[in-house]
Amino acid sequence: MPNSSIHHDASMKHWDDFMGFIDKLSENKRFSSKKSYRFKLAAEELVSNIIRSSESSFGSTQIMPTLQIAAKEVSLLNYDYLEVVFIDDAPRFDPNFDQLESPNHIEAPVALRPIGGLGLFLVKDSVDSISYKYCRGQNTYTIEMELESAS
Amino acid sequence: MSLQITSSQSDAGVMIKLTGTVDTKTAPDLLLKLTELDLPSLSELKVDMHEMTFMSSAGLRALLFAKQKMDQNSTLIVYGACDGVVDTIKKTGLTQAIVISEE
Repeated sequence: MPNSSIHHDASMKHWDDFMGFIDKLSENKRFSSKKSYRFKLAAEELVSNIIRSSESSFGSTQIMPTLQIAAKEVSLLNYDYLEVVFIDDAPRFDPNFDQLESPNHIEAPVALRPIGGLGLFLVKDSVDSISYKYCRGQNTYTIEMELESAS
Repeated sequence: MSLQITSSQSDAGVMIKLTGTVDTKTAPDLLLKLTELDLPSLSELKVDMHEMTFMSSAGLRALLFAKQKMDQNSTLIVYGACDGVVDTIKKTGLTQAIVISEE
């Protein structure tokens, strides 16, 4: 697979563009159907969060942040994976993936369950690895999804 | 990346059929449809997911919202959901609110 990327304003105007790109990545022949779904779920949740943050930021600054998604296959000695990097210049947002656990309210009765709080949990839970860094005014989220052996 | 929603009355309540994907873009349509129902009076809400290929947390939030508006003795049943959707409902602990039918 050649390296591929997409870059647009981080707004819902480009939702279909971002999701079309994600869909293509999820169709990787070395993904099981389960892994394909999980990757698409994680990517959708992450893009949704980034766009929400960006559009909120635009409301106060009138400057629309952008989102770039870049993907490549990485081949190591015994481990091949798809690396997908999400880079945006919205305000700094650290999801603290290392400390993220199942939301406490998961055990709460239905009537008391807050409506939100599920997206980032699903991002972390759905991928093989995820990391975050903030550098030069950009949030960078890196997802790794192991690839099945090439036949 | 589109969503079609149809609804019909059943003996026990209302049935909604979802076709396509429920994500950040399309979930508001689902939420709107659910809010148009007389949720507090429903004893049962069934959601047909046979033709739904994907649902993100935005869709789950819409369903949870609906269940919270329904009477506590009512049921919200999804059926025909793909493995990915079933997995997501289970891992987020929403099986308390959403009954998964294998029908």
